[in-house]
Amino acid sequence: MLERQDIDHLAALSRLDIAPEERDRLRVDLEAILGYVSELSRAVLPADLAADKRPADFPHRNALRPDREPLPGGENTAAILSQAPAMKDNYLVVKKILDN
Amino acid sequence: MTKIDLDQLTIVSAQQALRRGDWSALELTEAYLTRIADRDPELHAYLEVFADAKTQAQVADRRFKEGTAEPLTGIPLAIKDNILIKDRVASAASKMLENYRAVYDATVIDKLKKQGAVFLGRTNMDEFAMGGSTENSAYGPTKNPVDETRVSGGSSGGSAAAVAAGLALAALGSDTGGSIRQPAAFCGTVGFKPTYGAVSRYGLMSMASSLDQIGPLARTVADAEAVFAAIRGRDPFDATSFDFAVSRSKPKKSIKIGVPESFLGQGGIDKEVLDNFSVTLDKLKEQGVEAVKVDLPSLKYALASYYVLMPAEVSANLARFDGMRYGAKVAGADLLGDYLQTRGQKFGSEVRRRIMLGTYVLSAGYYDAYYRQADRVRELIRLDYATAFGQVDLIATPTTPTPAFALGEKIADPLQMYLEDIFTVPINLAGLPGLSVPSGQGSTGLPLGLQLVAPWREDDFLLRVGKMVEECQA
Repeated sequence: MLERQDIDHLAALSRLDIAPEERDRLRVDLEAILGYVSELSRAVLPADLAADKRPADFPHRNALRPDREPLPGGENTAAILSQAPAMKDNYLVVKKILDN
Repeated sequence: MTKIDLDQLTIVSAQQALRRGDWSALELTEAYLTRIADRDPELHAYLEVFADAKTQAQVADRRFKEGTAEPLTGIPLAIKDNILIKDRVASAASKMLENYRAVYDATVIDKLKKQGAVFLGRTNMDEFAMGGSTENSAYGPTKNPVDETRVSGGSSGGSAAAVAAGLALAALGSDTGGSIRQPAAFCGTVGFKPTYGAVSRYGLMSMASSLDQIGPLARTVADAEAVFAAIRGRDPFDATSFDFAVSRSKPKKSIKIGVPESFLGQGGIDKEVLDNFSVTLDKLKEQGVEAVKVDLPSLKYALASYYVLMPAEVSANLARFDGMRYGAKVAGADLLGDYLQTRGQKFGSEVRRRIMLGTYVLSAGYYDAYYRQADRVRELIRLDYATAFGQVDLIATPTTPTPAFALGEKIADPLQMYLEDIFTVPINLAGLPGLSVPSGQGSTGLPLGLQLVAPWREDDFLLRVGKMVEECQA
């Protein structure tokens, strides 16, 4: 059972400001969805379930790019920074985190 | 100039006409722009029609004159709004990115530009590709061209409607749990989700990275194949991408298609869908295809597994939208307030719901019961398919459990909307290639689709059998 305060907590963790009138609706929706996905607990998992049983042609694998710069440094920097909502002297403007 | 019949045109026939000089790429693009001006105000398949489409077509015409034309030169395409085209707005149909301009080309766009394809515009979608009806677009839904009181499907609904209504010759979509195949089925077009990794996602806005794949929507399987041929292949900017050789070819007589009968008999599937499915299978049998029963016992947990794993990845991927670096910003009282207000106001309700759901299933105390269990069930599903493909060459189901539903019918009940994904989601979980081919109409006169699924990397074989389905419809 999700309580109203669980929704408040989840919204805070998700960094979402949710209007009070939307919270009850969300509680009902999330509860229905979580109720549905709970059927996963009925799935019987074999003790030896392991990724090494995958067929050799299986495409999901832990894929990492080579550990070096993929693009020449600074190539897109100006274009990327031009999208920032607020800039000052080549810095992104953010509010103060700590008070004096 | 020979008249251009947009309702009969395919990429293959347009290419021939362009090479013969029946008409120019400019005339072809103008024909589409006229049709868009006529029909799109009602359908709303496009979020933006590019002002320079004719200029792009003129560049293509020069390539025909110079003799440097490639298979997609001058072909007018529509691009889903979550795929980046340099210097153009890419909004993912969200208020969060309403004014965002792409800094670079997605790899698929780069490849299509090199071919000389013409981009007509960017198509409507569910916000950040989350939904099955385009009703979650921040800019209003796309209507189904076959029946404008019904949804076009989603999330690539704008791309499907554009192709179905002759507002583009083909389109790109993205498919995380059925977002290419389901709208294709609803609108009566072909929709193809390639093997995970067959097409680079560099420049596709990430939704759920272990599931996302770019693919084509087109009028025919041959057209989908032509687009796929242009965009596939390994890309150093997407580490999951890979090259694979053109797959086996099998003589027609010996193709074995598996039908997961117990999965189809679970209830909740429209009778007209099941009837259409068995009629289509019968037609394939007349072509010499053998249909056999297969057992995929874990498939019944696929949708539940998907609706844990997908939101978990969504909650992580969408954390980047913070109002600091790019996209919209709504000022709050302090730094935390900036986050809360920007994300709370600029994300739509379905996106917010999925972020919260993902946050929940990943949180301490729930992780094992939800995320870890879902991930292990995903492994079971993969092994089920691997076993089944030891016995059959392909697996067939309907693409969707219902035909296109009415606008507004499911929007208030997210779980009902999610159940529409029942046949498409397992394929993404397993990373398999899946193809939706039109299979005629149900008793209500709405289009339906047959979904074919092939083993990993058997995309070419899948497309070949897809053409057989088309032939037996004719």
